Amino acid sequence: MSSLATFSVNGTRFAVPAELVQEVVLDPQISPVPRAPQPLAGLVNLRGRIVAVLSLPQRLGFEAGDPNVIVVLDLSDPVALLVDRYHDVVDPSGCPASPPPPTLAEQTAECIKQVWQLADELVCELDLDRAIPRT
Amino acid sequence: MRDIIDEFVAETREGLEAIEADLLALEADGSDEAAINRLFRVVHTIKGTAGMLGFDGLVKVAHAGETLMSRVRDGAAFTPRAAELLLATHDVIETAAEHLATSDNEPDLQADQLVVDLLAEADSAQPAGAVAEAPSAPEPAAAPAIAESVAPEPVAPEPVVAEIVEPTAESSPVEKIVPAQESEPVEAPAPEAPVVVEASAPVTPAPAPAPAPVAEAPKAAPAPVAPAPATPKADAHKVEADTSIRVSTRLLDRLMDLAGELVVARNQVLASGAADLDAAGGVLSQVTSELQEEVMRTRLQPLSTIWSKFPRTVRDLARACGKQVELEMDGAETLLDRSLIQAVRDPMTHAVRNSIDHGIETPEARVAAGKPECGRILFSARHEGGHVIIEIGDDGAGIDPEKIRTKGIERGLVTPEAAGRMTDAEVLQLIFAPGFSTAEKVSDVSGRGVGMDVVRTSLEDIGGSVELDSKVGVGTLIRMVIPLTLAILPVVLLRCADRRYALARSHLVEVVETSDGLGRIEEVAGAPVLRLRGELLPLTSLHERLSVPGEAAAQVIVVVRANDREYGLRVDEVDELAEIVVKPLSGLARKVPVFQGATVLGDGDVALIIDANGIADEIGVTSHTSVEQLVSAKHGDAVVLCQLGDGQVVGLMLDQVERLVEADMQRSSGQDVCLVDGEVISVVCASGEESLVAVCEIPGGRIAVALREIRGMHDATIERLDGARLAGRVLVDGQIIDVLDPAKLAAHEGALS
Repeated sequence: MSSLATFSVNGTRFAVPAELVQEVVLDPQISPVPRAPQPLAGLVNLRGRIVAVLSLPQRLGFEAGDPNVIVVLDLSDPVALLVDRYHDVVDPSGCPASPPPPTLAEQTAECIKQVWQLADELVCELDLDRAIPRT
Repeated sequence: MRDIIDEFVAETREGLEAIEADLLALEADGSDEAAINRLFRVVHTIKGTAGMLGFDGLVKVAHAGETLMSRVRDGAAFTPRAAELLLATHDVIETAAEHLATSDNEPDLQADQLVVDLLAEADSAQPAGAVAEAPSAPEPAAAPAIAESVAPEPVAPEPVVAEIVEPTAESSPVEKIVPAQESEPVEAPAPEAPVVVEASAPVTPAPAPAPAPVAEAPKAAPAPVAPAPATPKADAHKVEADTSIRVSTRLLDRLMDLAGELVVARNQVLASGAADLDAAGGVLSQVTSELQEEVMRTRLQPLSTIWSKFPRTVRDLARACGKQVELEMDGAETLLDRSLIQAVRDPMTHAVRNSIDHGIETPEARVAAGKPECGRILFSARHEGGHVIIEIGDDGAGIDPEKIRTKGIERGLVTPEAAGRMTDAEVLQLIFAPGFSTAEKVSDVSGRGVGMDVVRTSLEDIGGSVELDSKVGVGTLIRMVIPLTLAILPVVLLRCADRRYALARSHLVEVVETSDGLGRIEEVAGAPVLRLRGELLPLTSLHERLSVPGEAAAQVIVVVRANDREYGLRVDEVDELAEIVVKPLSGLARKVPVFQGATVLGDGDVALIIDANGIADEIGVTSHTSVEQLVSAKHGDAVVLCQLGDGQVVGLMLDQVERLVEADMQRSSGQDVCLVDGEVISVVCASGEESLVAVCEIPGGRIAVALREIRGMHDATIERLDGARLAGRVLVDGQIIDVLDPAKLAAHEGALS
């Protein structure tokens, strides 16, 4: 299992495979898009490349706080996830993983691939195919 | 492995493209030995690489093709059958290459029969001379080239060259070639040709650095140099290929992004105004601009990249139609942006299909008409005023405007009256109307339900346009006007709720400031409209369209042209003109219908590009009636449809209507009147059921027509009548509607203003 880049939204730890993270920008300048469909938070200019910013709290169905960190993912159509805080990269090898508990709201549960049980915390690995809405 | 396959696919595609022209040339004249050698070489390379990659099917096909070609090379006649089979081989390999572009495994080529046929043809092909002669003169094509290169040897100032050239160049450049030539004389002579060029190259520049021999050199130099051009000419495109390399288009796009970003950084540095940066800033500025320009140029490709496919298309189509067609090209070297070149391909193919299917006559018909049997299609391209003009002409039968007129009426695209009034040139433009197809019946070649309207819309999508000109019996010319590049878009920046938005200048008609007294904002039944020089334009505001809070602050209206119609767009401010680099919107952002892209502005801010057509669609400015608009706006009469108090639906000519307002009607001294803007105006057609009036200007004053409601606006052609109350009639959605003449109404009802 490759390592995971972790970040938090509403106090919950989420993660994506670390090799997908292109960069993390603190307090980016996000240009709003009028009439943007949820969870599109706007666009950001990354050295000449315009990247769509998705509000992860909105996608997960959480109360939006004041997220101001973006995690830019190097996908074929690059996308940035807006989160509350960026943490560190963890190596989950050897730790047990389980499916998301059925008590989660459906909107939240469908974005989670599995929950890693690390020694001192739980980390929800995002299912990017489902968490990132396709057009 | 994937890398090697990708390389193989790219190499194969390039090779196939090059030999297709050779095959067609050989079909016309089988004696072109250089072409045969090129064919042989390409197929041989494909066979070799395919063998290495384990694509056995490809090896078999390539080998069979090579066998047939080797017979031709050895002097057998290049028969039409051979041409047919080799073209089929070309296609099989091409299909395989397309498949391999996305797959690691060779597809089932289904080419067993082709292989059998190729080998059978090879067997039956007897070299013209005795077979035994072939080995004694294995390389007729290469031999002359060498002879020419070798010839200068005695003339060349040998010692001078030998000294000035690198110390290691003991032998003369010419001598160097010889072993290279001997090492593989039979298989691949031509690839060695560039060596000749490279090796002899030092001869020319060499005298320059050495002062002493200069005086002599000019005398001596011409001798060895003069014959040299023969060699590069013989294989010019090979040499050119050596000076270019393949670069992924993604990398180019990224480079362009970075160059654009550098421009932004430069602007920020310059704006900071630090004095000690002045000189450095100037250099930075210049380098940045040049870099951006050069990077932009990497996106340009000559039109020949797509035109090279057409000789084959034309040949196949002409055969399928039983016609003879010759294709000529002029300006194939014209450069165009990579993305545009791809966008031009389909419209061109469509135009060529039409030319061959409908334009060019059968050989018999041509002879009967006193034309040469073989029809001509001419492609020409040139730069003109910031655009690239591509013309496709044919010397076929031309298009009969009468047929188009009849068809247009049949299809309900124009009314018979309007069609009658159109000039022939205007009628021809009907071909570009949606739902128009002149094909008598659907044929294999053209007419698959898509018409020239698709050509028009696809060119308009890239900011271009298309025109058509035709003369019966003489031919047809289609002219496409294409912007130079898609990457750079001239825009006007508009401000709305403190953010900037870009609007392509091709959509901008004018900017109207109502405070200047030009144009007035009014309402038609609650819908805002802009009255501008006798025209009534639908009006919307950017705030409303973008659902951002607030109202347009100033009365600044941008008149936008989209969907062949104009509308007014209220904004806070018109900021400035700019040239921007268009970036596609990613993911979810594409879902917003009123944006077509985004850009990074000079200060690093992201601005969205407004989709003028998207807004037009949203506010219902569509082009149902665009056919007539397209043909000629002046023929359409704008008519306001309204319902009178008695329920009758009538029309009023828009240019006679000054205002449509709600008004209380009163009776005063036996006459119906109403009060509009403090003025008492006589009312006609009043029955007590109305709440609206249309204020019309008539000779001698104004008159108000009482109305129950407004039904909408229509562009239609008024058939003039001389009735007691009527100006004429119009046909709207199949219904005949009376158009009232306010002046006659006033006279009729004795209403004086």
